[in-house]
Amino acid sequence: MPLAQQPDKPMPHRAGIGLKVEHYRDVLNGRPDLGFFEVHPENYMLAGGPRLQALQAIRAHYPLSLHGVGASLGSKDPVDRDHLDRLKALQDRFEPFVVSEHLSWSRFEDHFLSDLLPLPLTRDALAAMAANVGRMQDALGRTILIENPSTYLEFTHAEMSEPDFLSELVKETGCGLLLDINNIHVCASNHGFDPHAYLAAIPGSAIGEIHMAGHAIDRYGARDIRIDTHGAPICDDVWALYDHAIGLFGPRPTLIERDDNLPPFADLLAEAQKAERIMAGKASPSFKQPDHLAEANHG
Amino acid sequence: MAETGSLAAVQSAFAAALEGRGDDAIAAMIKPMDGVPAGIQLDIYRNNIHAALTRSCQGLYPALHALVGEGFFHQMMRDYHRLHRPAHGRMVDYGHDLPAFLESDDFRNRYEAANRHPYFADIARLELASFKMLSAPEMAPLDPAFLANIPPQDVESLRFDLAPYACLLASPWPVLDIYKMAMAAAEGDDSVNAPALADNPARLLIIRLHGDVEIIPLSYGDFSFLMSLDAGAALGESAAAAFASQNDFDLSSVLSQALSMGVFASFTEK
Ligand SMILES: [Fe+2]
Repeated sequence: MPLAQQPDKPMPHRAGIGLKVEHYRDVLNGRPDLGFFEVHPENYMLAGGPRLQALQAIRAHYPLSLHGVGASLGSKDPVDRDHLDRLKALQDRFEPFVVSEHLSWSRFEDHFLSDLLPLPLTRDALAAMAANVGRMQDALGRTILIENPSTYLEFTHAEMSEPDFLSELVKETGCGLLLDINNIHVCASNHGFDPHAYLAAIPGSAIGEIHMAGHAIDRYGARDIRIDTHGAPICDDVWALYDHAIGLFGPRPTLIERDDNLPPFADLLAEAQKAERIMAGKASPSFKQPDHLAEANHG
Repeated sequence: MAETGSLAAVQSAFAAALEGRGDDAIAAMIKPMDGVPAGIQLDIYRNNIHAALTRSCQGLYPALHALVGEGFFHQMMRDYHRLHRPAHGRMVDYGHDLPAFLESDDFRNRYEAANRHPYFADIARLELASFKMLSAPEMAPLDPAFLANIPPQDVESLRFDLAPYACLLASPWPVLDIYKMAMAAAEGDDSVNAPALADNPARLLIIRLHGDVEIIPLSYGDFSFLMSLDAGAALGESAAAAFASQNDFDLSSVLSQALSMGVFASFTEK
């Protein structure tokens, strides 16, 4: 069994922020002290223009992560060649330290259903997903990270748990994992499993990056359904789970994802700093700040 | 028919549910969620898809969104998505059929407002062209100094190619004024007056300059001249067409302005 391959660029054990067009000015003028930025490559699959130029200017000062949402690696069909070619062109131009995608599917034949749809956790799905991860890794000439998604339904005929599915995928393809702590919290709440048990079943050495985000709570009748929105501050439960994960696995590059209801950039920076304090606290306990201090600095 | 429970069967049934062809097949495969019907779980995905496509189109067509309002825009998007489903995950390429959709019978028959506001499609065309010019390939413009090397008697037969970041747009409606009014309204400024619709056509040059798109109104003559060049006609022929549409057409003025703005990428002799 191959060990999870190490990413081919050094990864900062620091926090970063999901880069939005609205942040370009703050980043280029303010040069905030952040470990990295992350973008969806699909938003940069353009021939030219200021968006690409802004990314190039930002890349000159920060490491960059390309986090795909459009490859649909979980589809029964092979991943779209054209998409891989475009992704490779962006990789060549921007030299990201990591490239990631999702444990999900969106494409069915010639239709693209623009959301991260859940996979049945079956042998059949594992084989299709592994084949597509392999195709993407071959096309890019590197290993990629695969992220656990938020899901709102499960299938009756699942043959394994999500951590087991991810472990098998790592074994079969040599890919790494992008662990989204918010998505674990959302799924644990929606499907009623223990998030600590989920973390304990994850092959920690494969984790190349962590995502942190906020979510929303919808109510249906008497029960809550948690929805991954990236539209709110990270909640206390997710911070607690992050603290636990860093304790288990050690520090990992940690991304603050925020796509909706964008707050002032300083608020996101404060969340990134909080993640770095937690990482520093676990790496070397003498640096750990009491939680109330961390909160006082927040926003 | 794919084997029951296979990945192919799940994805086929899931796609059917998300595209409004019935939930039954996929619902039978969904593990019961305490107190929540499968249709509600599927609605979360249906809502996410609608929100993603609508967000993408709203980003591409902010003026149209401001003109029609949030409620109308969402309803219109439901119809558009049903007829024009994305074929891949690159949302920067999605929504480009909207101008044609806004002119279709399907749209006109369904929405009475489309007939009262016949310029919707051209507003969308203007916004789409602006996005395309903004994200067009980088290319050095034609250096005006080239003209010094052309013998005067050959100038008439020159042909010019527009740069990939420049294009022309004509409309029977004052779409630039409507666009400016809508964008001001989107920013909360309702003081910009609506332009007269009758006998108020727009002839526009849309060009990326220093990383920003500019929309420049042209006289009839200047527009005819550039349209003719863009269609492949030689300079002499294009100037004649421009004189025909505007008798005070000034060839040297429009040519030097176009060259200094970088409208052309290249030229050919003969
Ligand atoms: Fe994530």
